[in-house]
Amino acid sequence: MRRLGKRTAGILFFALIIFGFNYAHGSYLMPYAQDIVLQCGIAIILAVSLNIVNGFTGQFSIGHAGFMAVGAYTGGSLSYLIWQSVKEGLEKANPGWSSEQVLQAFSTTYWWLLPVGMLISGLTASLFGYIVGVPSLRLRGDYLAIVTLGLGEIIRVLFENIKTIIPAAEFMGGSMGFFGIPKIAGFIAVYATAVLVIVLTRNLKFSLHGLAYQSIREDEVASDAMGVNTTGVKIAAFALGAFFAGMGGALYAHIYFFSPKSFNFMLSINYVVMIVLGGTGSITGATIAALVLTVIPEALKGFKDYIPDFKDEYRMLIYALLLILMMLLRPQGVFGMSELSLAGIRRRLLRRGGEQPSDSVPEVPSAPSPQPEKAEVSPEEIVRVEKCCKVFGGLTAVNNFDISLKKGELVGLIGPNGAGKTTVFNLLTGVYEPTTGCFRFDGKMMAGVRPYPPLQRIALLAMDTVLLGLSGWLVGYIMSTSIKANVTWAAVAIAVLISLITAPKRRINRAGYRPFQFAERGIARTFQNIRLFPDLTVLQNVMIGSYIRRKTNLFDALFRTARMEHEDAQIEARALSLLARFGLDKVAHEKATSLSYGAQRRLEIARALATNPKLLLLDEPAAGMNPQEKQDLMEDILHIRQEFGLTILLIEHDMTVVMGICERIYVLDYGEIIAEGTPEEIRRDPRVIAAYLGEEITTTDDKEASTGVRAEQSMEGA
Amino acid sequence: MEALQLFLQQLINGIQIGSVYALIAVGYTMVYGVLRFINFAHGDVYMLGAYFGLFAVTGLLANQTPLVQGLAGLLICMAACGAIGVLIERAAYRPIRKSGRLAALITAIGVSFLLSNGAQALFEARPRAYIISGIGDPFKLNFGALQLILDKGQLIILLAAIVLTLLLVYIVRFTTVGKAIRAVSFDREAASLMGINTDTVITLTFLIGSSLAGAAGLLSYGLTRNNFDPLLGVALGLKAFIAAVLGGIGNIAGAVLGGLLMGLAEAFVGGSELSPFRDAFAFLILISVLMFRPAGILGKNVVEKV
Repeated sequence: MRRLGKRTAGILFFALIIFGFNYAHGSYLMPYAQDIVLQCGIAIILAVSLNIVNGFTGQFSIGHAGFMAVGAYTGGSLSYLIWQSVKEGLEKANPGWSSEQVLQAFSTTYWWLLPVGMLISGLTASLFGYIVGVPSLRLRGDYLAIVTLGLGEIIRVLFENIKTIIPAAEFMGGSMGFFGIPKIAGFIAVYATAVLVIVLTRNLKFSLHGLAYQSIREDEVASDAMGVNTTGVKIAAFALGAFFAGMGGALYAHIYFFSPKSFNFMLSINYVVMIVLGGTGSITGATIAALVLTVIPEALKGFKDYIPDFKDEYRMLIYALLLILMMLLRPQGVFGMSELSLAGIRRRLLRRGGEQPSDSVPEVPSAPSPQPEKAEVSPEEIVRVEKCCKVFGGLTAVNNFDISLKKGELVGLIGPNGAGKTTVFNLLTGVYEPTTGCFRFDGKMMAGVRPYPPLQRIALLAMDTVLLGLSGWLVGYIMSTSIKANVTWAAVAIAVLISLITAPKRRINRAGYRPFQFAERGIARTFQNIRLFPDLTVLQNVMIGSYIRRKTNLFDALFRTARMEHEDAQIEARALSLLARFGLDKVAHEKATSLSYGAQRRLEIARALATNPKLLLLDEPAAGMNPQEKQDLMEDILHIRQEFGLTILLIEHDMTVVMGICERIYVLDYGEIIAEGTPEEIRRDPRVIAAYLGEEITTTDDKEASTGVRAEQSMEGA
Repeated sequence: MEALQLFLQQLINGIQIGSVYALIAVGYTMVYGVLRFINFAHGDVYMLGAYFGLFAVTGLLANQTPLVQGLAGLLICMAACGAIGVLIERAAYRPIRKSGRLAALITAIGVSFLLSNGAQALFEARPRAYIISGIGDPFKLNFGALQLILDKGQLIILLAAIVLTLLLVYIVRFTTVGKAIRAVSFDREAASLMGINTDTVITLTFLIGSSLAGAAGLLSYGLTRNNFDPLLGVALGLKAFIAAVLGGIGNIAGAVLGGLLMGLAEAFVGGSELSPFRDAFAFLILISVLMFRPAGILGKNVVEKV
């Protein structure tokens, strides 16, 4: 009830403000200023929505205006068709009316047209976003930038030549521009949408989902390993950004006249500039930058009144110089990633009768600390790796690797530098796919050669052939009309032939599982080179670990449903108790990078545990720790194994740690297992000693012991 | 016979357009190689090359023979554009090099605005054209019944592009400077630890890339009578950049290949019924190539080390 009341009050509050400003806007501003105010509103919608893609997930889209165009044409067409069908009737029925009065009557009767049109436009634009996102967001790096850039251009060219493609769409006007859309949007529509977009984006940013989005920006590899479906999330972010952009485009269509050129590359760049200047990731920054950057170029127009020779180019020159200067002076943008907290102000305004804000942290049960006993090892096997090889170019990093872990075991994996230990971890977490061999986890095949079932393979090959044939047809058509001889069918035949000839070599094996799927099935890891999410807090780092166990969806996050609030609180409490477990609760709200090296390593373990794993892979957890920290770490590892029922595989160079806690040890050298056994057995194994010292040793018992010590020291030094 | 003739004719046109793209694309790819950064202003440097060519040929060298006009003009364009490239790198890109990719990109966009609008303010917005006299006349090649129309300009463009590319390959492959550039693009930090002055190498990369763009500016307008204006840089630069990505960004051979492919596609699509969609095709090709070969045609897929 309280939530509902708060929400209604919030809506009322914003509604009041918008209506108030609307009155001021209509009554006191000159038409030119009114126009700038509307432009600002649309810029806010576009900049904030682009921020979801570029700011939160750290991708790089520079074709946002393309989605705006899709929205403008979709929403514009809908309104155009309805308007044209009823306009004449209205005019006939009321012969004395001016055209404004007719439009007024129309917008009153069809009040739903704009919101519905915006919704449809948003959906269409996000469909485009999805189609573009799927091929390009699989890749890391600048590819999205190029593809979105291309998309913007393709959309422009398509709308310019829309007649040729869809003759019925001639009313859209092609390159001449789209005439005849009823201009029914005004201040209220624009700013209600802007507020909605800001509120939803803000909700998203501060939810678990938003955290997952930001984790991709921070470290995509770690994010994947913690169970965030990075590709899926990126596509969702992209489609969501496109949705809002489509809505913005629809609004634009109902205010301004436009042609395909209105949504050109420069417009997209404008929005990118806005979010970079405001601070990528900051909604406040994007909003303010949208305002400022819309007003400045307009304000510069005023120079014309004072300087007679002032050319339009000078305006752009000043703008360009300001841009460069800004980047030189404050490259992270005005607001960095932080937000101006309006929440506090709002809360104060809304609070009634001593009601407390609901963001107090739930009580955290202090960590139980039972003495670590000998954990029970069940005979059940949880990890089975068979004949695994991983070849990089000419280098065989892992060769015929076999290991088997039983549930509840704590096993060490040691070996000299470059022996392939981390490669083994990468194979066990899906970062790499084995070249040959397979890996079973908990009875399920996780990695290895997984051929397609024959029928599926045939279907895929058929699909390929059709696609290739179509592209062949397109190429053939171009060639034919270009050289005036019919070679279309020849081109199709060649394309199909190529597809058939290469068919035996294609679509043989299914793609392997991705790291997040390994995490979902219960494998978590830490990294040798710490990979925390540097700009997020310690608490947020751990919370992201719980993302795979979430029960809410994007909708919950956007509208901040009760479910979402409940889950966020729950996950936060769980994260805090995990942090307390590792003595990190005091620094929960510090940035992850501000921690000491040892604390960062512990934080990585806490984050991995938040994924609720069955198997925990620790990659040199003791590296960089002092002796006391090492001692604590050993106890912690034994504790958490007990407490969370884990199986642990540990890479470590520090022999006191390995020998101290592991029940069994595998020794890896040149990618092959050279020894396996209890710590005692390993300590005595001549092959192990040789691997570390690089020489064959055959000595008496006491000498061997002393060499063992030497080996230990050298291992520690390694 | 007519079909074959048309085909060969388009092929020649395509290669000619493509060789210009290749020259520009090389600049993108080299800068991307050493800095992992899209130099958006590169297209505008090319545009300036066209203007420098105009001023050199019609002003400074107006009374010279076409040969002198061509060669001296080319040198002037290359030197001037190279200098501008170095200036941009020093003044705008170097100070923000450590501030992240987004900041670098925005700066590049700012520089691009600055150059195109600056050119508009200085040189007027109207389209211009010029020609080194005696070069524009077409001549016919007869091979039996086949008749191809070429002009000297096209041939010279192609020849010059080949010479410049070979020169570049020589520099990058066989000189110490080239080795340093390759080292920096492989691993900047390691290169600097090996005693390579990475700042100098980066400046050199900009010098080479920009001077090639300058050469392309003169070649593609001074020899063809095509119109140009201060705003062409963005659009043309984009296509050249696509060419670089298509071939595999960071890879010089890839840039040349990508440039040629783009040129061919443009020529054939331009001559076909789908010519209104010409601009979209560049991107369509790009997207389809990226779907199957994410690293470009000659690029290598690099797995991030964990």
